[in-house]
Amino acid sequence: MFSNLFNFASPQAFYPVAGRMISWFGWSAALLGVAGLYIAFFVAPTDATQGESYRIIFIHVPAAWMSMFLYLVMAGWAGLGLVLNTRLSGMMASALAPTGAMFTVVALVTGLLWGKPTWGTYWVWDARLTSELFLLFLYLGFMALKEAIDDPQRADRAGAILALVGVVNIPIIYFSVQWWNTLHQGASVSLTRAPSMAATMLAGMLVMALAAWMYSIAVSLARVRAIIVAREQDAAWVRSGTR
Amino acid sequence: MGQERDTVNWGGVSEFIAMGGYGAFVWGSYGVTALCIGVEVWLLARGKANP
Repeated sequence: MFSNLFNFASPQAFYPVAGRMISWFGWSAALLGVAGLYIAFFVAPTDATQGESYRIIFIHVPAAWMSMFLYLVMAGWAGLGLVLNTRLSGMMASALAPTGAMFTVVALVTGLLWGKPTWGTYWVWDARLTSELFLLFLYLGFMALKEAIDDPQRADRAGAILALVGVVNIPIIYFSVQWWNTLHQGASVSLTRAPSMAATMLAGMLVMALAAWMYSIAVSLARVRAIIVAREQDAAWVRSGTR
Repeated sequence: MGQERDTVNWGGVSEFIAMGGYGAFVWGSYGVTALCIGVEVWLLARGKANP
């Protein structure tokens, strides 16, 4: 069984599998996105204190979760590549970085637009906001570093070290609202206690988060295919067009 | 046309667009997100591995 599983660690074997999965995850993302938006605007009630501006959280929170989670997955793949020296691992890490950076930008921008009506300011240098901005720089640094090194194997190794060192920033983002006195509020949803919001609001947020997951998987698979083709362009299976 | 359901939160289209006075912030947020997703999907559809 495991020998079968490891077969997919070869870019050649993974390429068609990824291709078949893209549309499945893409359509799941689209359907969940529509359902999530419907709940966000037509089911969830107006917030008692924030009014309608709170509806920004239906994208802000899933995007912020995704920005942190994708970093962990990216660092995980990068670390796996460092240890096992598998080619596909570095490609997976590279495929996740732009999407992670995109969700970080979305989390930051929607945060600005939520902060202005709610706090009266677009930006403060508090621990949560600053560490999330630092996350964006980590993603961009990872991408720039890999881009700057011509030899793909060396690029993978250097990128992996940067990604792994940067992992320390994730718990800092997540726990910043507990460790420091931040303007950013504490978690409204946690695994250890009941959420502090209406059930329909929570449902909308979770459906949107699920949509963000499906979207991330779909675009990462599409990107890893593009990376495979670019890196393996001299390999016989790519040149012969059998892909 | 869905009037019955829409009235749960909104009295009409103009109320929906106004978002209780926060329209610019709410639609700005959703617009930026849609733009980011659109650009990413467009680049990938063109077969680009990097932005």
